[in-house]
Amino acid sequence: MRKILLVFGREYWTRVRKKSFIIITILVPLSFILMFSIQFFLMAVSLDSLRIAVVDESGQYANRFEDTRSLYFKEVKSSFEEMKTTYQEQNYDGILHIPSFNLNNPKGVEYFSDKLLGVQSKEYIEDELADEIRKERIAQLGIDDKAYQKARKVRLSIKEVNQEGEASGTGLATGVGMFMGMVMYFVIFLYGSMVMRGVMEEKTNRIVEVILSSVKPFQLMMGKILGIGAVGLTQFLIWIILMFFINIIMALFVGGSIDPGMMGANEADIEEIAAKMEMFQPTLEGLPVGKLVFCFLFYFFWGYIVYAALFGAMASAVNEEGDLQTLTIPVSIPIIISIFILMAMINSPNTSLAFWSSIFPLSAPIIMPARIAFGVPTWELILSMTLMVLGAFFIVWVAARIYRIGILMYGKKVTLREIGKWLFYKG
Amino acid sequence: MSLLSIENVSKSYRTHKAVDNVSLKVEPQTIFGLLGPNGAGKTTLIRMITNILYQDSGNIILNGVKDSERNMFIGYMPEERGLYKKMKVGEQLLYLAKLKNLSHKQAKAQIDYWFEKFDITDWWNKKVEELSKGMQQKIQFIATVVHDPKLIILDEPFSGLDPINVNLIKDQIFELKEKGATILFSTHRMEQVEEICEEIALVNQGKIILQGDVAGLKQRFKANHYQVSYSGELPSLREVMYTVIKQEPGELVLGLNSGYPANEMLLSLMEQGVQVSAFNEILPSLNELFISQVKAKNAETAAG
Repeated sequence: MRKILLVFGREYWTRVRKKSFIIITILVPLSFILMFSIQFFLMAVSLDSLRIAVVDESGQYANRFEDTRSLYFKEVKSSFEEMKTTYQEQNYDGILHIPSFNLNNPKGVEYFSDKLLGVQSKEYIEDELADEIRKERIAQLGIDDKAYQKARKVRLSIKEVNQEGEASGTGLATGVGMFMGMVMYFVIFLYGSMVMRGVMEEKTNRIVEVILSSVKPFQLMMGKILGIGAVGLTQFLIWIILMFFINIIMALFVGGSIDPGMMGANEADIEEIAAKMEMFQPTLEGLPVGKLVFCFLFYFFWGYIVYAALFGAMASAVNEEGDLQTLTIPVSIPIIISIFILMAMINSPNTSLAFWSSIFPLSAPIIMPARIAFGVPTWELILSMTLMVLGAFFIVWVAARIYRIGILMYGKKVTLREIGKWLFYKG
Repeated sequence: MSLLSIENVSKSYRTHKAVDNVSLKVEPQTIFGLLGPNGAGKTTLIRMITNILYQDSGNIILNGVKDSERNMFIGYMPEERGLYKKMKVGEQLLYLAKLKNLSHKQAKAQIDYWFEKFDITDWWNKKVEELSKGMQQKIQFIATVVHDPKLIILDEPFSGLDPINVNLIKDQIFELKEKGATILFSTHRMEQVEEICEEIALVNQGKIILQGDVAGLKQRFKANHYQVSYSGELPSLREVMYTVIKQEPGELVLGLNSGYPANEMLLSLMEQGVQVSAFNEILPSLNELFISQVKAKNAETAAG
C-alpha cells in the first residue's frame, strides 16, 4: 500500500505542477469567459439604433409603434417615392412602408434601406404590426380583446409521476442525461489517454525495469491510474469553483447593464415567464439530484478505473507510437458504441437495449447516469452497480496480467492475439 | 552463510529454456561476475533475482529472505538505463530511494552524501534531460546504490561509459565492497571484469558451465605454457622436459611436459646458455577459458 501511495504521489505531483496542466486548467474557464464576452459584445453591437421613417398609407398604424432602445419610429407625411430619395438626408436609416391593405390578407409591407434590418428588429416590427391587425380583426368580430386574451391562455403539461410519487420531466431528464453521458465520455478519453502516455513514457524511457525492481507491476499500474484520476478530479474541482465565480461575476456584470425595458418585456411577457417557471419547478424538484450526484461520482470513479486500466494495459504492449492506434481502437469501440446507444436511448429510455447496456460494465458508466435522470428501478441500479464493481475488479486483474508482460516486452510488434495469450501465462 | 543462493532455478519462455536448472552461491563481500555471451540467460536470471520475473521452479534466497521483500536489499542497474527525463534529479532520487523503503530523511541524507562524493551538489534542481549522457550515468549509479543495498547488481555497467567514468564507477564499486556490499556483475565483455571479479560463473545457453574463483580457475585450466624472454643467440635446445610451441627472436613459448617442475626447466635452459631475461607462466584469459569451455560442451552435446 505504501508503494502504491508513493507511485500515486509522484504521478499526481509531477502532473499537477506541469505548466501544461496549469495552462489548460486556467484556459478552459477563460475560454468560457471569452465566449460570453463575445456574445455580450455582439449583443451590444447589434444594439446600435435605427431611425425609421414610417410611411403609413392606411393611416392606422404609424403611431402604434413604440420606440425601443434600438428602434425609433417617426411618422412622415411625404410619399414613399419621395422619401426613397431623401430619407438619408433627413437622417433616417430606413423607411417602413405600410400600404393600405385588406385586413384579412395583409400584404405589401416593405422596409426600404441600404442596410439590412436584422432579425431581431424585423421580428419586433412584424410582431407589433401583427398584434395591431389581430386587435382590429377581433374588434370587427365584436369580441372584447381582454376576454379574448383570457380565453386564449390555456396551459397544459403532462406531469410524469412514478411509484414513489416523484415527478420527473422528460425534457430536463434528456438534457441532464445527455450532459452526464458526454462528460463521462470526455473524462474517459482525456484521462485514459493520459494513463496511456504515462505507461508508454516509462516503457520507452526504460525506467520501468528500475521501478519494477522495487514495486510490483500491479502497484505501479494502480498507483498511476489512481494518481492520474486524482489529477482529473483536481482539474474538475478547480473548473467548478472557477465557473462558479465566473457565473457570479458575469451575472453582476450582465445583469447590471440590461434593464427589463430593453429586453422588450412588458407585463404580459413577465406573466408568461412566471407561468413557465411554475411549470418547471416540479420537474426540477422531481429530478433525483442527490441520487444523480452520487451515481455520477460512482460511475465516474469505476468507469475511469476500468478504461484507464485497459488503456494502460494496451499502452504497455506498445513499442512505437505508431503501433498505439491498432491496440487502442478495440478499447475505444465500446465507448463509442455506448455514445450511440445513449443517443438512441434519449428518445426511448425503456428499451431492453437501454437496460442491458446500463448493466454491462463497459457501457454502464456512460448509460446508467443518463438513465437515472429518467428514473430507474432500484433493483436495476443495485444490479448495475454490483456488476460495475465486480467487472472493474475483473478488468483490472486482466489489465494487470497484460501490463506485467507487456511492459518488459521490447523490440517486437505485438498483436492482439498475443496479448490474449499473455492472460494465461503463469507466474 | 551465502548472501545469495540460487537453487535449481529454471525459467522457460514459450520456445526455449532461458535458464536451465541453475544453482549458484554468492558469498558476502565479494565481487561476483556472471559472464556469458548475449542471449545466454544472464538478464533473465538477474530479473528473477530482482523479482521482475518469476522462476518456473527453484528457489532464490537473499540474506535469508525468499519472497519479494528481498528486493529491498538489492540495488539494480539494468543494461538499458532509464530515468524520468522531465523530472528533477533530486526529486527523482528521493522517489527511487523511498520506493526502497527509505524514509524521507534517510533518503535525503544518502543523496546528499553521494552528491558531495561526486561533487554535483548543484544538480538537485536540474532536469535529467538537461544532463549529458555521462552525467546521467552518474545519477543512475546513485539511484542504484542510494539505499545502501547488500547486493548490487550491475548489468553491463560499463557499456556506453567513457574511460574516466569507467574508472570512477570501478573505484566506487571497490569502496562499496570494502564497506560490506556484495557486487554481482553481468557482462559479455570478459576482459573488462577479469581484473575486478573474484568469483565468476560462466553461463551459456541457460546453463552454468563453469564456476569458481578466478585465480583457481586459471590454475585449473592452464595449459602449462611458459613464456621465456632472452637476449643473444639461442643455442639448439634439448627438448626433454618441454616442447617448443612458439619461437620468435627474443621470445620463446614452451610447453612443460607433465611430471617436471618449472624450476628445472628454467635451470636446464640456463645451463644450455640461454640468456634468460624474463620467465613467466602463461595463464588463460577468461575469454580463452570461456571459448574453450563452450567448445568442449558443444562437442560433448554433439557427441552425446
